[in-house]
Amino acid sequence: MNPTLLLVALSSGVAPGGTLYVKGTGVTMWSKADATGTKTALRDGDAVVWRGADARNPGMHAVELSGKQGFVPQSALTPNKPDAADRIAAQQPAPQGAALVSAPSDAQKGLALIEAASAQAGTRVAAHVKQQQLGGDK
Amino acid sequence: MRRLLVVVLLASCSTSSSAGRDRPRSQANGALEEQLATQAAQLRDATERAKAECEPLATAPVAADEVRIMGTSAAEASARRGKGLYLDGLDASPREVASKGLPKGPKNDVTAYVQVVGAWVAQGTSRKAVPWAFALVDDDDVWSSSTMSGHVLVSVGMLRLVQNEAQLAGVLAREIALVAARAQERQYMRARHAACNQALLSLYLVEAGSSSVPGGDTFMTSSKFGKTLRALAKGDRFSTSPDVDVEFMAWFTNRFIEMEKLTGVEKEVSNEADRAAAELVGAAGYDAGEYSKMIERLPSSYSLLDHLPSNGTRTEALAKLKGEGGFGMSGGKVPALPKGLDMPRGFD
Repeated sequence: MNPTLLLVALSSGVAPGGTLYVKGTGVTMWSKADATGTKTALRDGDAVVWRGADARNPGMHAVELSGKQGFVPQSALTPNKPDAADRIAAQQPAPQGAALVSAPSDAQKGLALIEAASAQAGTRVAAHVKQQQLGGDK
Repeated sequence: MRRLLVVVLLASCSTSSSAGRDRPRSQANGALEEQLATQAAQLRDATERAKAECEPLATAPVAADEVRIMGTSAAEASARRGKGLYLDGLDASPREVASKGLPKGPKNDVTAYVQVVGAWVAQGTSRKAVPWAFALVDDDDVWSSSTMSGHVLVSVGMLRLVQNEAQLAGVLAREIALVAARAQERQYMRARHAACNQALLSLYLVEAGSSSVPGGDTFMTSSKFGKTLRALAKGDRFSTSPDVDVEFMAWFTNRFIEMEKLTGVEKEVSNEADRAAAELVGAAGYDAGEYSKMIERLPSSYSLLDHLPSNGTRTEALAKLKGEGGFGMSGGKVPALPKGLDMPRGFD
């Protein structure tokens, strides 16, 4: 085997039957793949069994939660289990030069603006996802 | 007979004369040997003390305040590249920006767009507590970088290569994946441990001979080197310990990180970041295939400079992953870049 190819062999992703996690709030599991039928509310971080993308609506994916089957948009799922014990607390104060001795440089001032703007960007995500039709059923 | 006597006398003289010169040389050799032995013992002792004191730093997790402060320091270094951050001025108040967003402006609008896409992609990671911050840097070189504090920086040169939003998501996703995998934290831990060993070894060597080294006593009492790293090794809090000199620590460890960068990101870490990035792109509802297309658009020098596998090798591995039919590898969308934004234009 080509050693270079062996070196970059990527570990496999989640295969059908594997576990995915619900991301975001207000996620609905529909009984039908065209986002109709009965609805089940899912919670952020819920673990579901992935059954695969729907053939007709590839943006909707068949999942199973506690024995109940349904469909959720691809963009409401992630293979990454939420890390509840993450050490970077959101309430950690941004340094903004406070922890540093000298006066803030342009880079520090700019990053303070970037941090503030990035936090604000979170409030515009839902509108953007809707505008770009990334949410599947939303 | 007489001849033999002369030879013996000469030999005897020669012998006695030689013995007379060797006495001081032998004494000097002895003193030198003793000095060398003392220095060797001092070096051994200093090495062992430094190793023992720094050992906790090899495995100690990076504390939250250390992640923020040192990560931000690394982000500042990237933000200084080229012409600096891609913003329409620095006069806005962070408090106002936090509530209303960046003031309108051609550069700010593009930055704000990148931030929304980044925030959306980052929702798919395991690390929801990271205060993600997405920035553009006004630099024509093609690069992107990220820090353990969640700062993701993309050069304007890289942005010029992006053809659609899915490709932009791919660029951001790779950096998000590296932060989520704590790649930079591990790099920092190695740098911190190496810096500690270097600093304390120097400190103890000076300490051992400080009485005979000009200025040694002053060095001992005011050394940022030893004080800072000894405090950290003891487990002092990074942001509150009076012995920790944050600016010095940032400068010193950044030198070690720069040295590490000469050898590039570990290949396994880079490969995992490609897989995780493709999944994140898919989990955000984009076509993960666009991530491969973005890699194809990178100049061939990109992989060389970052010591990555070649672009072709990376896309081959991603194609194989797609063939396995894993989650997120197909079925996503390819939204166009929004009209009305003054996106930096390509050179072609």
